[in-house]
Amino acid sequence: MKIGIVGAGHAGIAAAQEAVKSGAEVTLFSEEGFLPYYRPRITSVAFLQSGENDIFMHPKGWYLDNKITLVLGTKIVKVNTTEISLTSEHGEYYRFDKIIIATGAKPIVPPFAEALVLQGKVSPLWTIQDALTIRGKISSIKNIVVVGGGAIGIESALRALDAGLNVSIIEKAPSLMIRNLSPKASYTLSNILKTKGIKLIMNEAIEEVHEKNNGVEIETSSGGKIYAELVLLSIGGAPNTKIAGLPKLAMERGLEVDFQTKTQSPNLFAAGDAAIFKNIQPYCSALKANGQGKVAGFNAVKNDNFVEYKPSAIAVELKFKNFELHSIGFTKEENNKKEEVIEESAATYRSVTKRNDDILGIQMVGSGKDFITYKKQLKEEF
Amino acid sequence: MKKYVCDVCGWEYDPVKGDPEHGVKPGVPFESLPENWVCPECGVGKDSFSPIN
Repeated sequence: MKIGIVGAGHAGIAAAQEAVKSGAEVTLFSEEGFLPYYRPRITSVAFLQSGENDIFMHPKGWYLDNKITLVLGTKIVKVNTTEISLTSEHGEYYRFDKIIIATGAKPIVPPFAEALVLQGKVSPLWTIQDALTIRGKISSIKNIVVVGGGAIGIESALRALDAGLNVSIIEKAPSLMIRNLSPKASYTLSNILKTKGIKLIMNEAIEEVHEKNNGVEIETSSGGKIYAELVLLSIGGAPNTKIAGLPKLAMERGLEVDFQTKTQSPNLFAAGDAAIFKNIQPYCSALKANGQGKVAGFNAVKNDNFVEYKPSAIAVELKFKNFELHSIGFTKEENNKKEEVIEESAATYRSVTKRNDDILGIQMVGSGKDFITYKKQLKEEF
Repeated sequence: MKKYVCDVCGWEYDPVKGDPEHGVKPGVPFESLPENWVCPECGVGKDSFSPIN
């Protein structure tokens, strides 16, 4: 049984590991020129807290030992679900018995930033290459603006501050981490970041960006101006499914799959950020990709006795030096869900969100005290 | 006793060391960790760990 896996992120690697366990011959394609790496750790590479060699999942020899053919620096541009074949951008042609699409997501780059990304003044932080590019710049710059106050934006801001930069965050929503935190938890987070010296520009959109000196000047909707040598884009990602020959895309973006990670085409599976499950809100996550990848790698080799992916609650963990943040499940108050505060101070906020006696969400900012105890009682809903 | 690695962040569980900060004494094999034990680095559960061969 020959399995072709497109994409060597968390989903692709998990799928490969699982498929070789069942005796399959696996070829794993990555358009990146690097060995597969732990994606949540690229921020630490960008801001000097880790070396790039610390974040590779396995040494080169591991792939040989596990009979996984790793094809790096090769972009797959076409899939043929009848022939069960893949074609690379250089015209190389490969045939398989099953194919798994694990191409992940691509960072969202707003139109204003496209030209500036090419000049290196604006950058997403999505791949190890992005991290290395940013790392190469930070010793010669003073100011960084992070666009987007989500979990990755905040982690980047904290790490950039630790690397000695002046840091600002621009967020168009009225509060930080709006998907993961209640307004009160988010308020405490803002306080902590401000106390550390991070400038927060909330509730403002970017109106204009133009080049100035060695960097750019950003004008926000209130008319305020801010200068930085580097602007980090942290406004999320969208499924990376620009491959000819894929079946119909769900929500015009991802590949629709069932809980066995099967697409509408027999012999074609999908996992990770490129896959969309019915009734599950899409979000980018290495944990999710890992779980789905295992299912895809297992099922692709089988003809029956398929396993099903069990979704997990949306979770965010940030730990950096003396900063800690946890959020899992439904954290906001709505209809029959009520937030119950455990602890509240200027630097700490801990609460659970309940429906009757069931804990549906937990959020902790500034302290993770008893998080695991509460997590044991969490009722996961999706 | 095998070491295990977190699939998400790469943190390694070494049974010789345990996870004393979270109440796991040195010498506890990965298989014997409580089911609700989580990765001390990124918070994922035991099912997101793989053995290191």
